[in-house]
Amino acid sequence: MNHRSFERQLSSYVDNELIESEAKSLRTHVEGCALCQQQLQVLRAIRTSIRDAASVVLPETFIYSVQRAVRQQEQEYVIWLGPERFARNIVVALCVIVFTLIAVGSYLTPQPVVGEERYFSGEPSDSVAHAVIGSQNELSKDDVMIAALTR
Amino acid sequence: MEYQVDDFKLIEVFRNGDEKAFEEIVRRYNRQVANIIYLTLGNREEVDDLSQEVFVRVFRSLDRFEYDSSLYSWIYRIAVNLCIDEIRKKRIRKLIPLDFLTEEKLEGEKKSKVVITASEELLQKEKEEVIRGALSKLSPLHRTVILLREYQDLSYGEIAKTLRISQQAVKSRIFRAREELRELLKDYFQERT
Repeated sequence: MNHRSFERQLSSYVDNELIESEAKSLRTHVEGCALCQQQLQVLRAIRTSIRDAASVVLPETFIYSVQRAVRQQEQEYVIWLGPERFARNIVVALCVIVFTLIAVGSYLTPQPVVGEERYFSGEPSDSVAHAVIGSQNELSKDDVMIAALTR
Repeated sequence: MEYQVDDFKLIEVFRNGDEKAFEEIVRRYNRQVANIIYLTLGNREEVDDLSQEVFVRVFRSLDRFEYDSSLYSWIYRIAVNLCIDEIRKKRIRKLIPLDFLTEEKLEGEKKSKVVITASEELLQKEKEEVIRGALSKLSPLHRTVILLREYQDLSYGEIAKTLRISQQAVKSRIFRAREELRELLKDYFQERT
């Protein structure tokens, strides 16, 4: 491996992400390479600097502000849940009403009586049905034609 | 009540209705979450509110935790996603005010260095500003990955799980992020060596 290949491994090396044989061979290279030693130093300095820059400490009361926010969101959810439930109930009630109206409507509307029933019950029927049913299947084509035309 | 139990046990206790367990989770991870947000967004003002939002989401989702990752990487995932959303929303990378030192470099002006008194606090502040400025110039993906590695000390495998990307992608992003940081902080490190 050349210097450039070792240099590319430095990043994984500082992260302990090289396998032992790779790490060993890199260490041997670094011992004799001033440039890699310097790079390694910079990589470690970057790490230290980032850790040092992470200086934010939240107040001790932070937990209470989280709890307050959780409660507040729960309350908002419950408040929102009221109208939502109401709306859902309204929709269900409307569905029931519509369904009932359709059922009642179809019950009250007189059902069309088929020709055969009307014939036997003596109700007036249209001439074609009347003639066909009354003929006991003995109608000629002409009979049907005449019955149809005189309807 | 002080908890001395591992994270999974805490989740169980929480699921059984003891909210003290949630308090313990917040205590354990609030600092890491706050700093991930701080270093990702580069803006101190938003840290408290966003950290709070992270833990509210943790509270709401803890029942759905599936034990397929560690609790902390799961919490970091929530934090990172929130940060990415924020960045998308505000395009914060372009908007965040860069620190005075970074501005100097951006403008290419060779202003004389601000005279820092021998106060440790000021030196630390200056160092923080420089690092923050450099981080803010990384792409959000590089920034996130390098922070999870350098600050949170997650392994490549854990980062891959947290960000739902391959380990190879993690390795390559970390490498590139370091290359960028090395370039951005070149002058800074030279002064200090």
